[in-house]
Amino acid sequence: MFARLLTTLSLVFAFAGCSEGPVFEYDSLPIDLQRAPTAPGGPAMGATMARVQVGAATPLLAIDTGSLLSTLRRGDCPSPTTEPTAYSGDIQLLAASDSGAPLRASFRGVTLFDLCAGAVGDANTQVAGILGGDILLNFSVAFALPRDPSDPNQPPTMTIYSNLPASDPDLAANGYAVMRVVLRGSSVAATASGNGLPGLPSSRVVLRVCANPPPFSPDGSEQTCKTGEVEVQASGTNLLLALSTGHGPLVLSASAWQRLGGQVPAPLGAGEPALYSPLVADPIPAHWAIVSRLAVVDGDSGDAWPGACAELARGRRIEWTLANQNNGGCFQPCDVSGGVALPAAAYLEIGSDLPAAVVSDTSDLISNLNEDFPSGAQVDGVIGAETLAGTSFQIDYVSQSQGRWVAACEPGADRQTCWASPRCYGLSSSGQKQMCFGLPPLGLAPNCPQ
Amino acid sequence: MTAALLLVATPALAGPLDDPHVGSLGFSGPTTGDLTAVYWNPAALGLLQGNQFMFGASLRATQVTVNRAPIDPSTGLPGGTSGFPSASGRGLEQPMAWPPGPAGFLGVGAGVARRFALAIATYTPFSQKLSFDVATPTRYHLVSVDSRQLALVTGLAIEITDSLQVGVAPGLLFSYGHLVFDEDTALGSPSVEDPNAAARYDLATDGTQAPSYFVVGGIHFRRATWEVGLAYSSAPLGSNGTVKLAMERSQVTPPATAATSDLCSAVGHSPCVSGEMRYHLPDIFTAGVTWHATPHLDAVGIVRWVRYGEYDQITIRLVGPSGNGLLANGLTDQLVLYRGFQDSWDLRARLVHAPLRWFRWSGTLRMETSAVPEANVNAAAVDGLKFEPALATEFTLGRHLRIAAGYALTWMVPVTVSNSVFNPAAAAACAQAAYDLSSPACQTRLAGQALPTAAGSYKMLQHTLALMTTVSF
Repeated sequence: MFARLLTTLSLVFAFAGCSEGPVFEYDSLPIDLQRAPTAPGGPAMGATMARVQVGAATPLLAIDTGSLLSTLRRGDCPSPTTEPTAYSGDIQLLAASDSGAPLRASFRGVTLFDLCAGAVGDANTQVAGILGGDILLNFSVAFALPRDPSDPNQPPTMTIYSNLPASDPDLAANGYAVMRVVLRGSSVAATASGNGLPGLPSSRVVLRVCANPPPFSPDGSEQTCKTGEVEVQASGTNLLLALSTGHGPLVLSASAWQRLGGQVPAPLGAGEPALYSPLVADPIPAHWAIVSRLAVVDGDSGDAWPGACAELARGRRIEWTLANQNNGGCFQPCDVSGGVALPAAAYLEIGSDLPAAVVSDTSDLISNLNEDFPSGAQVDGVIGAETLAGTSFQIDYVSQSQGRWVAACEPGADRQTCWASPRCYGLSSSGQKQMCFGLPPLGLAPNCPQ
Repeated sequence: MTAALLLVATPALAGPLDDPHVGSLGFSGPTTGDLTAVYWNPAALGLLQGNQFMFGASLRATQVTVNRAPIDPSTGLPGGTSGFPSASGRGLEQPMAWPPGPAGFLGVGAGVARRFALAIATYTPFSQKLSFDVATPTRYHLVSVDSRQLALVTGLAIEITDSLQVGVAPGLLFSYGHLVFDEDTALGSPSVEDPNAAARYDLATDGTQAPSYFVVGGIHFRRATWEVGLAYSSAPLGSNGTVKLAMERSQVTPPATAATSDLCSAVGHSPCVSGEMRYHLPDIFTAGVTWHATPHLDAVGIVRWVRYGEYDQITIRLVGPSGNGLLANGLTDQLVLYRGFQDSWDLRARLVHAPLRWFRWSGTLRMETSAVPEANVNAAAVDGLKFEPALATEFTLGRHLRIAAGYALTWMVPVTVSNSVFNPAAAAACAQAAYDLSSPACQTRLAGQALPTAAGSYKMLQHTLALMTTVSF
């Protein structure tokens, strides 16, 4: 009997740990990246790229958080009509630094698609593949995208962490703007012939954005807002944008641009540089425009949520009140519920004059962003790496059931170019000191009369 | 059988984390029919008659002496002329502390309907407590540690036949940790082990953590004058044996050479660093044999196989303030502390003599092989072949009360580390290789071995004094 028990136990332990899976090796130190041009002839502040070991060659590899799949072509590019094939392979990720191309991370036994990625930024910047969300999803991935691309002491970097072990309130207290994000894009990839390909997990980070909000300063004038007016008093345009480090500029669909009050020339993009996207094989006709500023705002998409611009306006009103409470500042009636002020949502505001590529709603890129959730809210475009210049952010895919996007501005940034406003918690506790919006600890301001 | 096992056992350690005396010192084991069976072998709960309450407490005093080998001040490698004073680490473990434990046992149980026994108990199967002086030469490996795993377990035993019992004891494991060490931020530069370049990491949980789950199971068999017990205690379940501790009360003090002396000044609150620590705990196989040689004399052999092999490293991830935070001050936010443990064998032979109805005593000789290979020994993981004689007595007072007391002296064969796995030159070599993971230096760094050398001699002595009260009713 004892022998049987021992045999059983031995078998149990012999089979334990037999499961096979990808093997990841990384050191959680920054990996130097290279930037593609933002557009043909544009500055090198576009898509983030590393290098990848392919035999003796070390071609460029796009790091694209907006891509649902990772690709690495084997041999020459197949013809566009060739159906993609998936295989189990390795990505030996090399830094793209001036000091050579050291091996900085290894992803072994991962599912890769044998696809030709499109050029990124311009026609001359060809990549051998994409490190996409399906692999990045296993980590908490930090990016630092300096505003000055020419500073050799501050290269753009990516750092791979196993997790981000801090709660939202702790992160907020330490100056980080934490946005809860929705990961989208899960699908069972299938080819036209019906051959099944590996399913893809939801990995595309979709952010809620208020575009073209008016400038704000806590030294400015008071904004009033009566009960029920929270949406009326909002300014700017609500957008839903995917975060894609494989793109440089802000990319907007034509309809989104029109909601911002922009004009779309016909034909779109005539005589203007095309947009080169790693997600689409061919260049995309684009109209180049300027968005004055945008704010990425934390919030959910529930019916009760007033929208990114309304949340932004509320956060600014609350900040104004706290900054001016010694001069009679009070919480506006629309920002009070049950006699206490509502929390101010976290946001990251970026300005000013952000280059944007306006593309057709029917372009492959916009279709690609939306085809995996046609019944949900439509993605209006992409926030690219150029748009986020001067920020550092971490996409925390793993620490919570839903992802988090944790953002901060680079040290020394002025408010008009980058402002990270953590969620302001606890405004309901009378007598409790608050530290919000970078202000010194303050007491609770009174509510304004109705 | 015990002798045979002693012969085949690999010389190793009494684990630096493991409490080898859960329950009483000198009488408990996998064939013992009292409440300590929830730890040793839940099947032996089936021997329980009536109701029982047990409360035990131990005092465990540990003294570690480290004499580091001189180093070459330009490289940090052993063999130079730069010597160190002797470092002495002390730890006193006792259960009257908060968070609770270690070295305590509290249990209550009952035999039910002849064939069943139920029990609930709490104890601390793993703990480590050791403190050096704050300026200790061991600072880059350890300044102090206080690690506890408090188990809360329910046990059930079923009597299959008159001679065979099986038992299971699922439990919760509440973890607490406080770890202090330094990081040499100038490692590889000429000023090796310069105290001015030392950043202090003081990492602590905020009380005990949400529990992980584990289970103990076993069988007990009895025939004529022989009793045999076999048991298995799992590592934390559902996490591949990993314990994750949220280090919510952590402080990182930048080195004197840093631009900022207080990371938290920018955000106006302290502590401003949070993080997570991960490490493995071992699973344990236990076997015991008792031979009732005469009505008054028992001979007992116990073997424990502590599977420390998975305990290879402690990983720490920290998050500090934005802007002028950890990275901006040249401080790493991801640390790997190499441990490189190996499985250890704990072997003990015991005689229990009961000359009177109300009195018995025991003598135990325990040997435990090292859980830490010699090259991996450092101030945070001191271990070697250990020998431990122990004496215990038990008095029965009236019909319901028994009081046992015991003493054990644990002596570790001194360990001399001449070929330390820790290589301070690897940090500089890895940086010079642009952190290329294919370089051996960066693999050394990745494994958490690019630290100041731990070469030197290590001595450890431990005194354990235990008291156990048993009430039967």
